[in-house]
Amino acid sequence: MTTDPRNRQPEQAYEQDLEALRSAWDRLEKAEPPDLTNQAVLSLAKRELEAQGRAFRKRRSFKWLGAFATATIVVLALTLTIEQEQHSPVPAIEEADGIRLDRVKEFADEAEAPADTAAVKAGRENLSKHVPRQNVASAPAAEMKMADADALPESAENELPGAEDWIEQLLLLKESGQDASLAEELAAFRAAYPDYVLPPGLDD
Amino acid sequence: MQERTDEDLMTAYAQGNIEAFELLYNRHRGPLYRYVLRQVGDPATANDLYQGSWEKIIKARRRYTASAPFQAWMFRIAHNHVMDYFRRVRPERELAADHTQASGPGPEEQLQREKQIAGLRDAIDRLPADQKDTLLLKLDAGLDIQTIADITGTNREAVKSRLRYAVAKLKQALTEETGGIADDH
Repeated sequence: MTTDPRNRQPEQAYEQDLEALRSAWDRLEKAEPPDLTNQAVLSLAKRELEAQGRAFRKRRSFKWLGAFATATIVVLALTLTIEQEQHSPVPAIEEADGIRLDRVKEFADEAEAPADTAAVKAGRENLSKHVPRQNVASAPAAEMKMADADALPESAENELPGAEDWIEQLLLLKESGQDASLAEELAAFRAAYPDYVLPPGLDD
Repeated sequence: MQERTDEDLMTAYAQGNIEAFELLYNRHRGPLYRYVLRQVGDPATANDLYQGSWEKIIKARRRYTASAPFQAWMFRIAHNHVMDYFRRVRPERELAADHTQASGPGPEEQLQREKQIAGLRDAIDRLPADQKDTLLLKLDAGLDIQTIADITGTNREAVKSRLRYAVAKLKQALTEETGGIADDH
């Protein structure tokens, strides 16, 4: 058998040489990596997995944080919406009515005090001359109707809401769609201020 | 119970199973270490390169796909790592081996065992880098011609040629020293 590859040794001879070499190879010492190296590799493999787990958990926690932030924004938006609804025109009217109720209470207080004096009676007659009774009664608010019209003091005419304020209340009633109240209030206003030119939206 | 394949173990490790890696490591540490050690000769350097190879394997675990044979993938990483080392420390001309060398008489029938082992080790060390690499991938890793070609970036014929030259040179060296390769078969 020749060992010169340039002579194109037969495949079989090459295989035999390779097998012989493999046998000799097997008798070479079976070197193994040192224990310290083994430990280093295994601990590296473990550390990498731990880092991988930490990265995964971190990503997952950020996902949770994102969901939490979204939920918080939704809750805030809902809260703001509810708050705005509570301060919508309807409550504003109620508040406005509350102001007028305060005035009615004032009327009532004054009526309780100097009730049947002659001056009051004279004033009442004077008031009747300027403003029809039913108009005065209907002018402020619903509760005013409940009050005894006779109890109105002589200064009642002066206590009528100012035309501008009244117009503002009327507009609020219109905006809130309280048509019945609006019609009633509007009639009272016209009676109280017949020459007042109503703003657009109220004059029809 | 059926033994789990290397590919299964590597996939399991990539998914977080450390026990799978321990099994895989114990299965391949010897051949891989010997491949690196016989490439460089020096145990300290071999140790560094061996550890570095595993480090690359570990860090590349997410890129490993079970469709590729693990052993070939592992040796490709180690091979590239060792070649990078040689490029850093050896002149380029030493990597380009002379394939036309080596001729001599045929092997003798008997070898003295101790002399043969020592002679074989020396002969391996004297092989040109590409022949040595190919031979080690064949004998230490037990890879087939095509896989070696894939790992070393050559073709089947080049691998066969390198193996023939390597075998011939080892036979020649051993014949000169001890009278030939002892064939147990």
